[in-house]
Amino acid sequence: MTRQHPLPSAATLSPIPLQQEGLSMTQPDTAASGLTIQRLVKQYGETYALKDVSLEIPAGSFTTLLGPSGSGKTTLLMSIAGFTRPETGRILAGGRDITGLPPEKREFGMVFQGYALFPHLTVAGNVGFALKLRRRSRSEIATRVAAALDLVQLSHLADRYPRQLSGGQQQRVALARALVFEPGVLLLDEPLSALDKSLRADLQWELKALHARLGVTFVYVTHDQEEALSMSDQIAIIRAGEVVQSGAPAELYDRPKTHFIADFLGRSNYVEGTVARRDGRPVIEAAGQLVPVPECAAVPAAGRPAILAIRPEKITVRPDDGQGPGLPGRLSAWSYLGATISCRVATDLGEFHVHLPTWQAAFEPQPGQALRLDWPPEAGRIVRDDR
Amino acid sequence: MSGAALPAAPALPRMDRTQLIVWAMALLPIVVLCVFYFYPLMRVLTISVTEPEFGLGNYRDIFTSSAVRRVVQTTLWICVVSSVVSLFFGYLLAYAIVHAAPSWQSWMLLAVLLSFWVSVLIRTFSWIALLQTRGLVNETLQVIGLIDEPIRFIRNPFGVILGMVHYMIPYAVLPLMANMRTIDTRYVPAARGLGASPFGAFWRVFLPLSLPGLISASILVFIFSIGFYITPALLGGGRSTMVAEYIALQVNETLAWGQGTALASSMLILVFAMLVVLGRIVKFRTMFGAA
Ligand SMILES: Nc1ncnc2c1ncn2[C@@H]1O[C@H](COP(=O)(O)OP(=O)(O)OP(=O)(O)O)[C@@H](O)[C@H]1O
Ligand SMILES: [Mg+2]
Repeated sequence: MTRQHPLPSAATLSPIPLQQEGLSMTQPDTAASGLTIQRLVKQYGETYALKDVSLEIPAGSFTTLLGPSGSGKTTLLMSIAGFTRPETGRILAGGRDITGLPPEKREFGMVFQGYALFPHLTVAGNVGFALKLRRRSRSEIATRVAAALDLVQLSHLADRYPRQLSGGQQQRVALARALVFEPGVLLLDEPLSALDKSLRADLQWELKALHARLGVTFVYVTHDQEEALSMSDQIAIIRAGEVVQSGAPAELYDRPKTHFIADFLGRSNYVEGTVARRDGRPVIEAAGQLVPVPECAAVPAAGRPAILAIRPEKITVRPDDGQGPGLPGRLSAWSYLGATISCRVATDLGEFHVHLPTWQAAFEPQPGQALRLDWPPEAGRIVRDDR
Repeated sequence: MSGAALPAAPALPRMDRTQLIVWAMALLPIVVLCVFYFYPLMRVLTISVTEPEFGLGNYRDIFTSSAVRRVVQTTLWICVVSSVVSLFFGYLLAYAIVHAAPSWQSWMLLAVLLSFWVSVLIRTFSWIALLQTRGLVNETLQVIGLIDEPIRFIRNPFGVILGMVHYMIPYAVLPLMANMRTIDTRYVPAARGLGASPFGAFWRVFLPLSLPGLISASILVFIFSIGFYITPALLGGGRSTMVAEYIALQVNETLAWGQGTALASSMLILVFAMLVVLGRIVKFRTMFGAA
């Protein structure tokens, strides 16, 4: 018994990750430089921390390196900063080859994980450190330190020592210290990971605003996918020393190329089966169901295995009235989250996760309730199997 | 909830058997310390103010006697030089150990501590065997043809300083290492990232942060250096008499007990004063790496 999964009944809104408007890139003070990373390889003994990483980081962009723990994010950032020497490959800054330059010659700002503020210097001493090394006059140092502290709203704490500051304040000092000599590139290694959640959210906005205001190229390392989605112009997803996919947050979220990305950025439901053609349209045949697939280059030839990924919020649910289109299933569990209801529905294709806006839920959830799941074919993405 | 049921006041804990045993075991060392340490110490202090007559005459003589002044001067400059040299090499060693690969660290530390197991007497004689006029070093240099006449390595201040430095380096390494281990490994890269050269990062960040270790190591090493007796006596060849040797001379040869004990007591007071200063700078527990 084969049933044709029908064409969409209603258009589904595709979610657009939160992007900050309002603070646009107005009058950047500094000449930001873009970075080109070409075929970087770094080996530690037997393991490859980086294997053949290439990445284009546009000048003035907010680029995030996102990946699970141990994927090589820090190694890549440290290679850009000059603390790690890659075995092969090149790094260009504004078209200039900097692969062989020591860190102090690269003129990049850097915020370390845990900040690494100098404990023997005051806040002002920390922030002025880079200027002192550049032998600027005392009055110039004073004015620029004041300006940098002003930027991060810490002018009143200039004479404190780092140990007398809270985590969020230390973070801001680290930022001011890295920005005071007006670098074209700012490198940040998980700058917010040590902070609690609400403070982190505040600082995310601040960082984003700072980036917009200064126009400096930000290269930001995190393993927090929400942080990456909300802050970046470009995300490079790194896994086991390789860039799996890079692009704008919405592009990665809506058009993941591989199973790993569909799973790592948000959640997905998967339909695994073989490709077939019905009425000239591609479908996936799985467990006796025919699931339509959007026509695109990624669709394998008929008879080949394929995986279709569908975002939980792109699926609509209605009570099963025994007729009409849709994938039948039974509600196995749900939880009410205020704005949305998260449902788990057991189907012939496995368990599906569905996020419904509460106001759209056209049924009163009952355990074991018969439901039909439906989604437009464009909501699905064929993803490469890289599990 | 009612306030009526107050808990019974706990009975005072009785001294039980185990506690008694602990006290008994502690008693023996206390007795030994009193008999063999505190009593002689008190005797030394007493003799210094009673021999040959009651009063502070011996202490006055310390400040007036030209022989004592000469000895103190020799002691001071030899101690300062050997302490500085020990600190220099100790700093290099500690830095190298702390920055070595973890698998190397324990071996390097072992190599430093190994010298603790060789007595100072044996070490001193080893230096003599190596460096005397007809010793291994001079003979070798002569055979190679680098020198015609043997060089006087020992029986002079150089020999004394050499032997002392050899002994004191581990005592410089330990507190320095304990301090350097507490310096976050990201500070130097952070300084480099802000534009510092390798030396600039060391000078402006690492060195200031290792200063507490350097101060405690220098006081410790200096205190050690004052008390050297065998090394100056054997490697100095009687030319550079230091305080400890001079005291022994007073007590054993000239039988000027009052003079000797007064000098010994003064040294003791000086060392205690330095320890007090040291205690103000660092906590002893952290100095030796205890958490
Ligand atoms: N100095 C080193 N010596 C040996 N192996 C290393 C070294 N630094 C990193 N590695 C290895 O290289 C790989 C990548 O490490 P890296 O620190 O870049 O990961 P990461 O993505 O930053 O992880 P995390 O999110 O946990 O910080 C890991 O397997 C790690 O064990
Ligand atoms: Mg990392």
